[in-house]
Amino acid sequence: MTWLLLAAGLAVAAGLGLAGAVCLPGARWRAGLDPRARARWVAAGLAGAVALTYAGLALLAVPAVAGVLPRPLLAAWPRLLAGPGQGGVAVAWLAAALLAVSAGVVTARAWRASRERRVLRVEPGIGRHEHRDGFDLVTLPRTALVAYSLGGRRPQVVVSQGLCDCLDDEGLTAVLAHEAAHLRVGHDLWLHLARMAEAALWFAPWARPAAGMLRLWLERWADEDAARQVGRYALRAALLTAAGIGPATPLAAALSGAGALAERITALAAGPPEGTGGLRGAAWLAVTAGTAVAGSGALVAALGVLAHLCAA
Amino acid sequence: MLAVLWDDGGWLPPGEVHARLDPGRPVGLATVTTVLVRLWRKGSLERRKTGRAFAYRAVQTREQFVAQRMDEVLAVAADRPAALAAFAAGLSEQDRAELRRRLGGEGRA
Repeated sequence: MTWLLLAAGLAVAAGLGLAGAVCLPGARWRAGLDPRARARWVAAGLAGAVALTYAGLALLAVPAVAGVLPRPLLAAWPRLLAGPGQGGVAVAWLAAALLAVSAGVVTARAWRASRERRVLRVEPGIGRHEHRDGFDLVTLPRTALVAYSLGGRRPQVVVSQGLCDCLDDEGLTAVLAHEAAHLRVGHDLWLHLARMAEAALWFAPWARPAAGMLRLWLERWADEDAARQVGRYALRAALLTAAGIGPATPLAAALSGAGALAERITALAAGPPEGTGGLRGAAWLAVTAGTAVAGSGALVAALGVLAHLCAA
Repeated sequence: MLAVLWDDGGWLPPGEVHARLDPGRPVGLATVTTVLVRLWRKGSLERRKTGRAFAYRAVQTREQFVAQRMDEVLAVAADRPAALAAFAAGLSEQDRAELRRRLGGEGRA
């Protein structure tokens, strides 16, 4: 049962990672899919993969932890006192060690993320601050091409003067509409989830593309929201300018780096997404089916383990 | 607090800094002293003994501090684009060539 949980979690992570690896290089068939549904699916899958994997690891580690806990604490669950379960003592200690290292990795990553957010939040007196509808717009007098948003109690959109100088009014409106869309939906939290899931699954590097995929769909989500306000052409032109290649470059139609931008620019040229785009494409069907099977298996396994622990 | 020290330009003891702070946001003298000591430990302030208390002065000018903060913000924003709700990741010249190649390829297809 325990092994089933662990396998289910790692399988979901692998499925998502595979889908991410397949998705990241540009592919025309995805251009019409709704990024909101995509982002929700990937986020739910990632959260599920972490939950299943950690439930499996925790159950494996129970005999090791139970061995060092004071016995009166365990009186309620006599089965725990019965000695190591599946896999023996070595596996239990290995799982406990993996959990301890993971806790360290996640804490370190969370601490680093919070330090970065403190640096990125621009205090009054640095740059020019203007109050806009729902956020503070901060303009930094620097030539770099930068625009980002930070949620929280005092949401901020930070842009560099260099970017403002390159964009016309329409372009700047497009950038602000994109960032406002991130703030409105709370994408900050989603990005944090992606980062923490990535840290939690550090021992499963094949899951990493899934976090990259989530980031891409979040950007596409904000692109689509902004495109509805300012038009697809204006947003596409602004993306090209922000990428530093200028809208004059001959184009047909842009994930971290060039691949992500190519994906977004191409998608904006392809027209708005059709319907909710829930489940098109073989990779998505496979991931969804895998998640569903792993989810039900894990639920049955968890209930079984719980019943086993409470028995006696 | 740094603004008070910049406005004065000279050495100020905690009591003086406290007296010049915005009365709209009252803070205790102990808090002021604690923050000054922390800023001194971080290297943002220098201090010297004047009588029984220490007096503090900002190490950097306001302009230097603002420039450094902006560079710090841009460096983190450029270094961790994936962790940010950033409009477009900062691209290297090589990335730009890759982007042009991808978009150009789509154009011919």
